[in-house]
Amino acid sequence: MQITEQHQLEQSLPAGQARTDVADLLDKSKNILESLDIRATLEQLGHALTSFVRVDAISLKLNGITEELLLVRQNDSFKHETIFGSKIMSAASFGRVALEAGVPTLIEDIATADFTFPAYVSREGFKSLVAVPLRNGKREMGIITIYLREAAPVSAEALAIVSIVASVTAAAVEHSQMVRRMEANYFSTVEALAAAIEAKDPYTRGHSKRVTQFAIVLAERFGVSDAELRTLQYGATLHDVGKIGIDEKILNKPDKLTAEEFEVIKQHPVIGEHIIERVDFLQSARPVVRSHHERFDGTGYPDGLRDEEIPFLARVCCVVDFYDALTSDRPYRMAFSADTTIQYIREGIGSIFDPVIASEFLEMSPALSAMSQVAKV
Amino acid sequence: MSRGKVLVVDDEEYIQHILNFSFGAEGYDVVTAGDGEEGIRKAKSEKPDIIVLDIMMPKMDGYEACRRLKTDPHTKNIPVILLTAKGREVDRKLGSQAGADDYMVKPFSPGRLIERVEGMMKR
Repeated sequence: MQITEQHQLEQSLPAGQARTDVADLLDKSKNILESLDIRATLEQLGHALTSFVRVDAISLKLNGITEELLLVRQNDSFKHETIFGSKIMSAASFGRVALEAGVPTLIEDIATADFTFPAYVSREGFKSLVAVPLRNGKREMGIITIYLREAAPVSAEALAIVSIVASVTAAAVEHSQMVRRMEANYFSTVEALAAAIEAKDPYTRGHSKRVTQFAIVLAERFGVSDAELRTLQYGATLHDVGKIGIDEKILNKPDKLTAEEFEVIKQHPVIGEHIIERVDFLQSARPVVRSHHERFDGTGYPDGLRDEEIPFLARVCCVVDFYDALTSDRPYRMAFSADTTIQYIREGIGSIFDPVIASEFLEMSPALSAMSQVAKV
Repeated sequence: MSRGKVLVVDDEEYIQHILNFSFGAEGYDVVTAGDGEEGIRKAKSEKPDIIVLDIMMPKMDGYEACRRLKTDPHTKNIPVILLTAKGREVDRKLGSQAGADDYMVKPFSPGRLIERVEGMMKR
């Protein structure tokens, strides 16, 4: 085994200027703590450590998660990669050894070290590494590995500092995992709710799922942020959740609705918003649920909003909801073909639909109609 | 000039449509299959550069199709990305054990998927 230098933290804290640098680093660590995005956290960490140790790449492998996140330095930023099925924490790998040692572990010369290394190590030409265990109290969370392309010396002080920052990172990662796990749990419940509505109505089964996927594809063409895509995912999955409050006899009526019955159906966006109002992480999705039946010309419901008064994500949802609804069978009509539906969308530009969003959707139409096998009308 | 050929294996048409569009827009050719058996047949006949594979499919599921693709000398070197609604850690582990090269959950962002595909094709 070619492990060089395992350091005890207390013996290696720097003095003087270096102490100021550490204070500055801990300050930067606040950014790490506040980030919920693990990739961003790792990037912050990579930047923060650069004044203390050469960082050609940094990777994060968490216990119990199959993927390893690798960030490889490219000039002033990092290029990221996900390694599926990473083995750096399997038995007798360098990661496991570092975790068990409980301190940052330097491998000065990868070429002569007695471990198997992932394929990216030789691909990227890494010569040395520092494996930093992440622990929160007694809990072993995983390791962060700093890779160096040159066998540069890594000082005792650098390793001590890396330890300090690792504990901050461990807290950040744990926090972010907890938040994401909570959200995932809540969202599974919420997806179950959406599925429950659809279970009672075979005509709409899979509708929310398809609308959500189409909506994400369409919204991405406008360069929306990850946060907005997440909001859209929640909103589109739940856009019809209000139908749970609507009498089934009306929802599944095989004939034309009376004016009164239509007024009842028109309540579903407001009912839906009311349902998700109580759920903290779904607040950003309320506009999508409430406004997905607004029309660009102001003649929609519930609020009669017009053009850009209608939230952008709701305008996106509106087009894809319409497309999926018309290309599906309903109790009162057969599905229209993709071509016919596309024609209706074209005719609805400016009246029902936002022209820019609808046009972007129509760009997708050759691919849709070429492959559609839905019954023609 | 095509950037490569993608084989999409998914029983749901709307996913085939979306991937046909998203990959097509980036200059890739797309061929499709509706279940695991057809997926393996097309992997051999079409020789794609990458396979996007759903898990929940009739006749043969994605795990089984992946295992077979990865043990057959004609197809074992084609990278496989599992694209599936099943996103729990246990599902990912099963995917890794079946020999998949990557894993993405639906609903997916086409941009992210294409990023991963491009990364895999470079190697």
